[in-house]
Amino acid sequence: MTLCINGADYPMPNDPRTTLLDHMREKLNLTGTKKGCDHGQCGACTVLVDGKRVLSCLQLAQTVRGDVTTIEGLSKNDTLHPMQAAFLEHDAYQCGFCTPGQIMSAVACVSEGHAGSDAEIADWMSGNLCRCAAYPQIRAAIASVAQAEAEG
Amino acid sequence: MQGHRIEGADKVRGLAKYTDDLRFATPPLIALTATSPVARGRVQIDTSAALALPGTRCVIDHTNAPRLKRAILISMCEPGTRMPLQSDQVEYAGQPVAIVVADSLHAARDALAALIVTIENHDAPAVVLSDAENRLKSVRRAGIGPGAMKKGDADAALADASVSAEVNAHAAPHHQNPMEPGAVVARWDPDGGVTVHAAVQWHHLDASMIGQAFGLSWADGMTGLLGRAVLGTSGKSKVRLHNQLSGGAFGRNISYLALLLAPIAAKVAGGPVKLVQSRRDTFSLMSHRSEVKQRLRVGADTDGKLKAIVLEPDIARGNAAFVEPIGEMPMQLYAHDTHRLTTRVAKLDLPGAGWMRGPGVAHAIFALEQAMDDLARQVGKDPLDIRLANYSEKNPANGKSWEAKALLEAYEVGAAKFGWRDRPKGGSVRPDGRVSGFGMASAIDLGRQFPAHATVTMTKDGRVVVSLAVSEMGQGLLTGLTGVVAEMTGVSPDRVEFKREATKEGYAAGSIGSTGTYSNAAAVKTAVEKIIKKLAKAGGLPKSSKLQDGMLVAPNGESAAISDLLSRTGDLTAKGRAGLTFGASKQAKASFGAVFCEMAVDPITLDVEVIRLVGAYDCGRVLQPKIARAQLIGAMIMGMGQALMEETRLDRKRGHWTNAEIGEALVPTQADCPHVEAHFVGDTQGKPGALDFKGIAETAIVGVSPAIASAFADATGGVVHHLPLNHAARLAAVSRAQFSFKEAAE
Amino acid sequence: MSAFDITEGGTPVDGAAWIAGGTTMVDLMKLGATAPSRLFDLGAQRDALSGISETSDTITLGALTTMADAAKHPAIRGLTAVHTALVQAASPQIREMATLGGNLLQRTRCSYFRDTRQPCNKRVPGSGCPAIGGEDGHHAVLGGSAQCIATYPGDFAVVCVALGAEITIRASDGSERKIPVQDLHRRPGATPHTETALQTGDLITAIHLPKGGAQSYIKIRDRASYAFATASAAVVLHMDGAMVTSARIALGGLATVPWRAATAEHVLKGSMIDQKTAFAAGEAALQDAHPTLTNAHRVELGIRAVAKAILSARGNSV
Repeated sequence: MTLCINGADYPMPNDPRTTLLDHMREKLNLTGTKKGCDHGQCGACTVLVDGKRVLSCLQLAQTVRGDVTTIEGLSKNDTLHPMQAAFLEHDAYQCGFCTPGQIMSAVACVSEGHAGSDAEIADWMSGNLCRCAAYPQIRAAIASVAQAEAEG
Repeated sequence: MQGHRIEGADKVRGLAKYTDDLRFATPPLIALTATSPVARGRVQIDTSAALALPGTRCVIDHTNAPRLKRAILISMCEPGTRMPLQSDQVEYAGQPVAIVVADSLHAARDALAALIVTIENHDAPAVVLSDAENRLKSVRRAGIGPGAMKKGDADAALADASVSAEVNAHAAPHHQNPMEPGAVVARWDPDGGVTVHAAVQWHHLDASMIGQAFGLSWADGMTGLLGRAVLGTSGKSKVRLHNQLSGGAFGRNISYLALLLAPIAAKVAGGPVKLVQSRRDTFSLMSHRSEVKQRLRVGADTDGKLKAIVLEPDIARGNAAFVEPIGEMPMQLYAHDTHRLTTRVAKLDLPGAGWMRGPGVAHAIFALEQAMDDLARQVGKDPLDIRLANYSEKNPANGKSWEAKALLEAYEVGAAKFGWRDRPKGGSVRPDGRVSGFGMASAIDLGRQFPAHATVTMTKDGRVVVSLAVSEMGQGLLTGLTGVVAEMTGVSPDRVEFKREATKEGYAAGSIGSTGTYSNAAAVKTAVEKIIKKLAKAGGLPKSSKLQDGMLVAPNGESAAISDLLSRTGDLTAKGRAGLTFGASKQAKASFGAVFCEMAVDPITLDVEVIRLVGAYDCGRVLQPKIARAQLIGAMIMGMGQALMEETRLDRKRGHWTNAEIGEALVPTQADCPHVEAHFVGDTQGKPGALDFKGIAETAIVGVSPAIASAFADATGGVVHHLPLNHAARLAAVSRAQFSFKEAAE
Repeated sequence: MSAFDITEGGTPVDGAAWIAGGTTMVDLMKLGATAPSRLFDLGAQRDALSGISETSDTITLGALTTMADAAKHPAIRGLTAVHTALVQAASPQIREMATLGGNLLQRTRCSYFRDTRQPCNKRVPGSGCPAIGGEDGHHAVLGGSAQCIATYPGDFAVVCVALGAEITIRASDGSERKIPVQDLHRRPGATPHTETALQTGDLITAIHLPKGGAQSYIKIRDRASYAFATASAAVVLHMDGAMVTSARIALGGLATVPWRAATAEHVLKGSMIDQKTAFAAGEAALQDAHPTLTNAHRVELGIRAVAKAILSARGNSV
């Protein structure tokens, strides 16, 4: 059994207790995904599985069914993903610790069609805490990406 | 792309490394901390089962931990009072009682689960002020603030005042809860020194703490620290503290226990150790903002002008010398004739309280502003007008003039941007059936300057290297300092490099109290000025020449290429120091602001929504508006959290924090975040050649909680003097008959 | 976390457990609050046991349908209270992971249950309940016992009780039975560790939601999102013009189980809805509450939640 992360195959952990988050951070050196609480209460560990946003701290690695995308897999070579570029442009981060989770969640928020208005973005991004409270800038970044996508 | 934070690209790519992300040639063992479940008693630990596990390397408790020496800590945090793992005495719930060290995170978790921790003879603790009446003691000092003050006969003036108001404010304890739980990596070096990787807010202070605790070298003691602060030398420090990027801090990453626990673990384990804190650990291994009660009485004349301020705070402290400095600021905001401050402090059976954004001042101004609103109601003035009526051009506490004070402009700009003068009447019903309320408050925070020593080198290949052990925790200090250097040297920001990580770099002012950027910038500025003089000498140009676009330009227009000058002189290095007087001057320095709030209240559920927060702030010169504004907005939203939800609850019998999880100790989510505006007022450009920075984030948390409480009172008639203003507090202030039926009755 | 293994085939026996979305199970296993010896991964059965179908009077949801998938289905959008309960639960990420069956079985957020350093009768039978007389601000004011006052925290189950929803349970021998959601959860009584009517090996396979009725779910909490209910109420009304012909009301966040408020239903039946009757029904719903000094405000909050839900349901009926 293997785990597909960012297009590459990795071995499954032997220990069934290993979460996807711990496996990536401790064994695969994929430390971009952060551990903010380890109990599904902050969103810092958000990754995509088959395009859906999930919390890697509550996902046992051996039960993952689908392809995982993390912050490290978002940009292609040196080109930032539009959401990463928008976060940079809108200063949508401060300490940066929640940022990988925010960006992964934001990518899903747009693809789900939940970025239609400021209020809708606020609602559908409420699973990602940001204690620096860069919230308005995060909303602006997501709105800009959603708008650019809408304009094709 | 221009104007980004210099570490921004790494942050959005997931490449920025926080301590737990670091990888080493020799992977460290993993350590976890066992903590006491109850507040008082003597601990006994059965380690046999944990030690029998194959992955366990060692278990450390008070019986085998190295003996630590006392440390003198000007941060006043817990290790200055009690060092961890030194005795079997348990003095608070969540106290570290053992460390397990194992081969992996899983193995460490297993070892932790296998420890049997027994606390014997635990007697009843006191963890809330209402259970500690007999522990209250009057104090002359409350942390960095005064405990007792007297100007005139305030009690007589209060008794004689035409109008008076009394506020009995209470604020629950709460935690900073930055997003990074935090880890500390420690390794003992062959020469007896220790290498530590951690995120700290005040590099040399905490390096000194570690050195003192382990008795490493005089250079790491208090004398050495003071020497470093004055002379800027790194001395012969044996603590190699590598300061890592901090995933937020807000006052929490100062002199925390893990900075000692990790070296303890590494010493006993005999190899490098990474001590990982769980989120739950952070609630007791790190500090919190303590519980505060304030009885505040003010007296005024019939115009609402203050005659007397009598403030009597009762402040909880835990197992640290730190006391929330409530008395420091409230006498410095409004003109008044007399005042009295009488502070009592109770030591509770809690972890050491400590610094959190806006220490003292956030709570103190909450109480004062509630009293101002009450006065306004009594004399029939608008809340803004009563504040204008009590405006003081000078510092009312000591008569000193302010270095700069644009509070009147803040009121004016804030009110205009908000539409304060044209606001609907409080209590009016919105189209969706909710009820509107409006509130405002003033903000103030004292500016301080601390010593800093920067070493700056201009290299022949056109780089500027700054050696200064500063902290980057999201406040944008690196970007700000880079801007200062780039502006003064004419070098593009991407050619400015910081060597900031290790103790051997220059002594930096701590990132505390919103003072880090300007204290450190002053040192950098001095160093760059020295380099300019050296360049001028080499080029035969006057000392008043300036660097711009790769040239040294004299006032008369004569110029020389910097690269030519440097090829003659070689790399030029200069040391700059600043702040040795700790900012003592004839003038007082503070940031000022005014914040305005619009709220909607559901009359049936008493759900509140902060619709808008508009603030205007005089923070002096604004170097990077985007980053500075982000600081203001973030602090305003944190203020909203403090106002409405932030509270860490306690079990009064067992003494532990009951909601020690980030999903249970609520902080604002994206969905709570209102429309927030932050405007700059005052001299945002600064005087030519001067830095003129003032603090930013600490000021912006101040004023938000009173503005929100005022808006709630405006909407409902319910005056709440308790923080947080959650449903429990709202229900206590507003009866069904008073608000809900009346408003919804058609 | 204690050692365990994961398997896909078979049915749990004593000490083992199903795992679906894992959002509750993995959380509690990390805390040490639960320690199954073996997990039976339902992932392989995801296709067979998820999806939504409807008849003229019932919507049937496979128990492994995620909360996110359920919330975006047009049929569910038509059930206002269900939709509200789903989208106001947890966070978007958790709703992508969590299944409806698992959500019904969500465990309490009682801090003493979650902190394994504290005694807890639910976690360690007979060890005591420090919540009683302790920090009980968020504990149950309804349905508690001398052994346990842990609050049932979920939203969806509360709406299911108000709707009169049923679940299909498949036993380890393959036989199936249907029970009302109202009969799924057990009050703690003297055995707080027994939380549901499920037997070892039982699996919830489907949830059946009756259609119809003017409905509303009101969730009161201390922040706008990503928080459990401090008090909540689900109301389903059948009206004849302006008059209530029948009502079903359930409370969340206030009781040890999703709480059916039958007394309040009687108050509404045959009456016209206005603010007074709405509050009267709220009063009736909480009349048996046993608050303490530190959680008494939640009785008033519960009354207000019921009143708001009734008034909203009436609003949703036109």
